[in-house]
Formats: sequence, C-alpha cells, structure tokens
Amino acid sequence: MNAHDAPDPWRMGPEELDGHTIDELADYLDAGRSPADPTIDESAGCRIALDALVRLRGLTSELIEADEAAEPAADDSWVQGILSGIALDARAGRRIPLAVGADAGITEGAVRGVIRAAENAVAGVLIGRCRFQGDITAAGEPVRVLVEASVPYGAAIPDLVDRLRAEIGARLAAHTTLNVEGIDITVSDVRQLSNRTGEGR
Amino acid sequence: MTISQDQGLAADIENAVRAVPGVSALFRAGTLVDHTIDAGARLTGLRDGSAPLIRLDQATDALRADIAIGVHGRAGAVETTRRAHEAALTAAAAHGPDRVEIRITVVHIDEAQR
Repeated sequence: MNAHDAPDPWRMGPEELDGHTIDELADYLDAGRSPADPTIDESAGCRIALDALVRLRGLTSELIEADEAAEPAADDSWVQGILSGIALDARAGRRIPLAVGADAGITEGAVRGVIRAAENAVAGVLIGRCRFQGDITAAGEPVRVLVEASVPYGAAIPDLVDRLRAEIGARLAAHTTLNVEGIDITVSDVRQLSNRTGEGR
Repeated sequence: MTISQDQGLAADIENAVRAVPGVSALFRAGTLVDHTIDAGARLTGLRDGSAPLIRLDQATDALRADIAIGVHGRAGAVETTRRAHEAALTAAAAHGPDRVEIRITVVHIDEAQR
C-alpha cells in the first residue's frame, strides 16, 4: 500500500474525529479507556476508530515484529496505510438512506466500520481503504464497494478474498439496504511472517 | 411547546429508543458544529452533560426529532432502525404535538456486541 496516497493520520486536523486525533485515541486505549472521556465515548467517529484500532492491535505484536524483522529498513507503510484508512473512514461522511418506510439512514462512516470489521472473520486480513462507487445517497442506485486489503504471506489469496467478499456482503445486507452491484477487493500488501507463514492471527 | 415540554418529549423519546432491542447507545444528533458548540457549553457548565441527546427542531408544519443511534453488531441495523422509529413515534404521540417527524440515523455498529 502506498502511504503517500493518504494523509498522515497522526497529523490530521483535530476536527477529523470530533476534536480528537488517532494518536489521542491510541493513548486512550493504552490507558484502558480510563478515566472515561465522554468526548470520545460519545463520539460515533471516535468509537468507529477505536473499534478499528482494537482490531489492529489484535494482530499480535509477534506479527508486527516479524514484519519489521523481515524488512529492517523499517518500512511500516502498511501500518501507516491502515491507520490512514481508519482515520479517514471513521468520519461520518454521507447519510445513506435505509429503505424502512421512514426517514432513516446510516452514516457512511458506520458502514465503513461494518466493512472493516469483516477482518474479524478472515484471519490475518487487514482492510485498508474502503470506498463506494455510485451514488450511495440515492436509494436503490447500484453501488460497488471498493476495498483494499493486506494479507499474510503464504495464504491462498483467492480463498481469502472470496471469504472476505462473502463476509462483507453479509454484513452489508444486515446493516444497509444498499443495492450492492459488486465488491471489488484489491490485495495491496502481502505481509511476510517469519515463522508462522500461512497462519492467521 | 415550551422548553421544559421539549426536554420532556426528548427525554421520553430517548428512553423509548434506548429500550428497543438492538440499540446499543444514543449519540448526540447534529453536525460537527453542533457537537463543538455542545462540547463548549458542557465545559463551561452552560449545559448539563445529561441533557437529552436528541435534537428537536420546530419546523413550520411539524416538530422534527433528530436521533442518532448505535446498533449492536448482532442486530441488523435495518430492522433495529425500523423498530426504533416506531418506538420514537409512539413516545412522541403521547405528548400530543400535531405532527412529529422522526429522523433516525445509525452512526455506529457496536461489533463488541456482535
């Protein structure tokens, strides 16, 4: 993943996450979310970003250490890319209508959070950026979902991608009424794991 | 409606929506600007942190209630939103305004509760 395509998440303006930065949210997690900060806990954007950070940390330190060991040039671009995506995607964004016969909708940020959480179902996969192609604000309009993913070295990529696509599709069906025409997944990183090639988290 | 009636209506709608299965939390409705103003008001003590999270606006022909909810991951946002809308309408009707428009937006899916 090319980290140069996205803003540095650690330098994003505080307005991006209801006045907080990814750095502050990481510190909040380090502190065990204590003392409770209602400006974080009551912010949907911060909650979405925290969810993603928790999943990112769910990757064992072993995995991250192995990745760094494999590339002593300290290329942490994939981590930076993931963090960039988290910060950008957590913003509320557009309001996507829910076809429930009432004035109801779901934010683009919440839907991206749902897509990102598909990582939980496919071991070792990390989702970078996710975007929509099509007018998501118009009910019934065909939409394509574009997802970038990082996968562990040695895993069967077609199988991982198929499972990830199925998981994302099921999640979108449960939480949206989007007319999803297709889910396009681009594997933009293959991460080297020194002694656990092919294993998941 | 008076300010106190508005607050009572907002609190009742809030309680009704919180009680809907699948709703994980209520968030403050409104734009980033609204949130910033609200945070400032809370810091300076002008606004109680327990003030209703629902935003009420009196339009020309109806009272509009803007509601932002979180949904448990295991509960579908579509079905949960439908039930939350019904609950909010029922709670609002008990206060008797001529016309109430309910606008619900899902802003977070709580995956920890999946």
